[in-house]
Amino acid sequence: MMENILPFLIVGISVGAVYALSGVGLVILHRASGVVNFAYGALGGLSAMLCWQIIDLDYPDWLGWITGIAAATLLSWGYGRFIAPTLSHQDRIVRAMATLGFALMIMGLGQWYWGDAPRRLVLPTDADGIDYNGQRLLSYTRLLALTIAAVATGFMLWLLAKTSLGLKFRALQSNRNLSAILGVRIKRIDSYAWLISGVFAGITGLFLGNIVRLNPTVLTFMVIPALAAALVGRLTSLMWTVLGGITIGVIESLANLTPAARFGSATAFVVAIMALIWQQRKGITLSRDNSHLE
Amino acid sequence: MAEEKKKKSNIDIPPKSPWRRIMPMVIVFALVAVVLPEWVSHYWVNSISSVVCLTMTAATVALLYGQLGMVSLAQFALAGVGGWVCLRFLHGFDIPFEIGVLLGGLIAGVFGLLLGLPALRMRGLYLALLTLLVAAAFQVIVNVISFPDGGPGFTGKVETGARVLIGRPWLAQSDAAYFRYLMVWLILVMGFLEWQRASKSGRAWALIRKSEAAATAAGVSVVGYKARAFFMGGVAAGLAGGLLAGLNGQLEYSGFHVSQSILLFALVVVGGAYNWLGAVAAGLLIRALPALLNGHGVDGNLANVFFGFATLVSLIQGRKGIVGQLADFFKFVRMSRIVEGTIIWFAIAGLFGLVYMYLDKTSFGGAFFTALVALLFRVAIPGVAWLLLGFFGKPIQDRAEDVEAYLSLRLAQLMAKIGLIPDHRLIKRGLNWWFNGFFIAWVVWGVFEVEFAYGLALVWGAMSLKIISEKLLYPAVLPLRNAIDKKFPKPLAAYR
Amino acid sequence: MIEIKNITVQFGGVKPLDNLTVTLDQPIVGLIGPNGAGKTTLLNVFSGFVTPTSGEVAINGKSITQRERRFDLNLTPMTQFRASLFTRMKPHKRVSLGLRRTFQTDQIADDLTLLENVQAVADHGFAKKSPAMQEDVKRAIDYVGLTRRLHRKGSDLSTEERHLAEIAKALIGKPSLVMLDEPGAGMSEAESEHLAQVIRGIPDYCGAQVFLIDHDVDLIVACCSQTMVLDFGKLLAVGPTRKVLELPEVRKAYLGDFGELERAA
Repeated sequence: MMENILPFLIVGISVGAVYALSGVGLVILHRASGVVNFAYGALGGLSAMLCWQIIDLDYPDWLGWITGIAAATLLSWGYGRFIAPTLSHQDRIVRAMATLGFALMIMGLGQWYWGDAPRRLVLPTDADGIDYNGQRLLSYTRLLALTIAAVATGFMLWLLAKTSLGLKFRALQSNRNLSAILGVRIKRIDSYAWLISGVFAGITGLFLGNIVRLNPTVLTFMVIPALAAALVGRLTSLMWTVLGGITIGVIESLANLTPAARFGSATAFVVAIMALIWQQRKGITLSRDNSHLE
Repeated sequence: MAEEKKKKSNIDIPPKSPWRRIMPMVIVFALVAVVLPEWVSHYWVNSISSVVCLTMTAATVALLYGQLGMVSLAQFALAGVGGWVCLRFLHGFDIPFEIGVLLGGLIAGVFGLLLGLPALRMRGLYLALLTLLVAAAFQVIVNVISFPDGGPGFTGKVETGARVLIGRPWLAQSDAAYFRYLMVWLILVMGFLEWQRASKSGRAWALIRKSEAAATAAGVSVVGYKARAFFMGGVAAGLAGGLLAGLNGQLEYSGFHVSQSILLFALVVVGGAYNWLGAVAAGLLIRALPALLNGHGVDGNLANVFFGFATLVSLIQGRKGIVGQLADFFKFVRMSRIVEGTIIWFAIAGLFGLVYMYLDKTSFGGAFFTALVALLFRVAIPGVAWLLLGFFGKPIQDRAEDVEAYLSLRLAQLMAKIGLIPDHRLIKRGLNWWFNGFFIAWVVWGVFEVEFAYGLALVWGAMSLKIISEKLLYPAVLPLRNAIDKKFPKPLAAYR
Repeated sequence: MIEIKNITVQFGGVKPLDNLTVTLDQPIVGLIGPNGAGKTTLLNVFSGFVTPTSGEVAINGKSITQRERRFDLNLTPMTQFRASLFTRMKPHKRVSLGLRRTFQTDQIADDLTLLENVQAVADHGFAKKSPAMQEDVKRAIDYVGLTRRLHRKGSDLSTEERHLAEIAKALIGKPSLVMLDEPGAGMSEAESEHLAQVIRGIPDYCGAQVFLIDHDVDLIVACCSQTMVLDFGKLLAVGPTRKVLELPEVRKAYLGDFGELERAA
């Protein structure tokens, strides 16, 4: 029994790690700037497609990776620096919906340029891996994803807890206006958050392009499992986000063993819906913005 | 005396009764239902039929967003539920088409209510995320179990062999008839939603939108009215799904991708969530623009880029959308100008329709419609361009105006120097004419298959005719104008 | 008549209201106190947004925070049933018992006309649509003096007009207690005078008791025959307005520079 489950478990953890990594990128941005970035998947998709394009043109692999990640980072930063501020006075919901517009733009460009042709993004780490009982248990790509997820999460935890940038992130999270009065340069700190989030988007895009499917539309909507992971962490807790991502990955993978295998890809959504409802169980009858009652 | 004057300037116009608010919509829809199938080609009739279903779904998104500020990204999934149920019942039982559609709507309404249950507690962002997740989960489920097509069992899926299509209602067998049939549904559904907005529910929603606490203190049951909106939204979306199933006799999984739900919301934002025309604009854009681009050999996916851009612009510019901006614009236009403009527009359009029909370049309707659009764009495009500039921020908007003013001034000076009558608005006008001419002619080339040169001639002809007729008619209609303005005063237009 | 008995409200370690006991029997009652004194919290207890930790509030003899004894033979079965549900009664249902309130920030919906704004309240104060309802709405608007603005959109009303419209909304139906939370905020002197006139007339207009919170002492003096002063959740003073305002502890707690103001006037 264990023999059968183990490979699925390991694969699940490694896919979950990529979800967790995406989730962490979303959470960091949300904590600092209060924006839920629906364009996160589209940025990752762009990164993966560009990377494929460059490798396809026979340039060295590393150039592809760097270009992909750099493009995602630059676009994310550009949005955060130039477009997000024009919406800063609006509700959270409007700011989130605006990133939906941004996502559509990037996705549309990707669909137009690359279309739906089947492609594969090959990473050099795909070729080899850890074997178990003569079966490939874990390719190095997945191992790398797992490592990067662990390292990146650790790094972000350190950044938030120990550095002055992290302190400013936390200040913005608790009260933006107050922070501005106290001298935190909101636009600049925001754009740092977008920058970091963009790097995360680029890296996860490469992994998802390799593991899931190299297609601009599919990758754009990979933001939904990432959001699911982030929602488990209430869009604020990094540790819960990681846990949520890995849980989703594992359940998704183990679902392959059950008769409901075909519904497996709905795991992320179901987990997140349950998490959302659980978090809201106490609820409030009035809206949160009941400042007029004070 | 002064007091008297003050009172007069504060004349307020009583709002129309709910019925009178719905009437324009009903009239427009009825006209479209009667006239449109006669004008456009077979391909476009079917396209526009699906636009009708999309409009109905968009109206539910607009209801939730415009009335309660709630973002539901799952309305398209609810349409899918309605379509699924409708197909299942029609395949399983020998019932009339309408019963199937109604059952689909009812069950989708129940699902909408279920979806709305968490919404009674969560607001804003979390609701949007929840509905997005539901839409994504629906996509997976419908991908697995697929839409019924005459097979056995609960899912009703044919494993091997030919798919069975459901029949259309007996009085709407042809494409044109089915389009008209859909329009009747659309009038009923949207009429009901509009009526709700204009009456007790609408007022309660407005209070909730303003503040839930104040609504509560005024005796409004916040939970009840939110649930009501979700139920009505679910029913209308479900009906749209069933009607969409009737259009082709089946539904495809690919049509209910989560991207469709997102696009629908984005386009409602672009079109405007506070007006029925906004939903129509959303439905038209989502289906017509990709088809138009494809028709011209341009990848339809580029439409997504435009949609994304337009969504960003709409959100940055405020939340009224295209239709809202237009409505705001018309607040400042005197009644006489609207009446006069409409008459002249239709006269010119009719003239061109006759001429082009006689020359056998296109149908009467094609030319008529094109001329109308040209005249509309002549008014609207400068405003739209200005809005688009605003996307880059107020400084850029101002700077662009400065540059334009400077260049215009220089040009006018130059004209004066060489002995022409200086015209300060030459650049704006030139851009407007150039854009309208080429853009509309290009579109018309695809839709009505008018040759490009004739299209251009049509657009520019209509525009110049409007200006000439205005100049000629001015002294004759002046007293009439004043009389109309006196009869239908518009307080805001007086400021202009 | 408002009877407040030992009301305490506690949020964690904070006590916005601390063992407050007072009976207010005048037709127009004022409530003043420095910021954070618990004024709005008291109002929220009345309208049901805040459940008191302990204590009881009764309005015209009916408790709105505690269940009544079930077998009071003086009450009809229906009243008993309603009273037994009262603690669990949703805030919006309190409207049908004649409790009305306004908020510090006015709650006029921008995209409805004034008439529609008031109508929205009437929709839920009456059993069903009736000519009497239309009449009542028009009368309330007329009473606050906004008839000429009947069909203006909420967004086109001035601050004063919005505050007055709020009051009109509170007068619909058969109110027994009208609670006004800083209706005079941001008004000029002339506007305040009109407002005071409107507030003074409310008991005659519909027979309701008025409970007025405001920082504008002139408005309180102009309207209220009885005033209570809160300070940090505790009752500092209650009694006829003039007398209360002259108490040294009230001046000290709240009107530190009132003397100066008076001299200036």
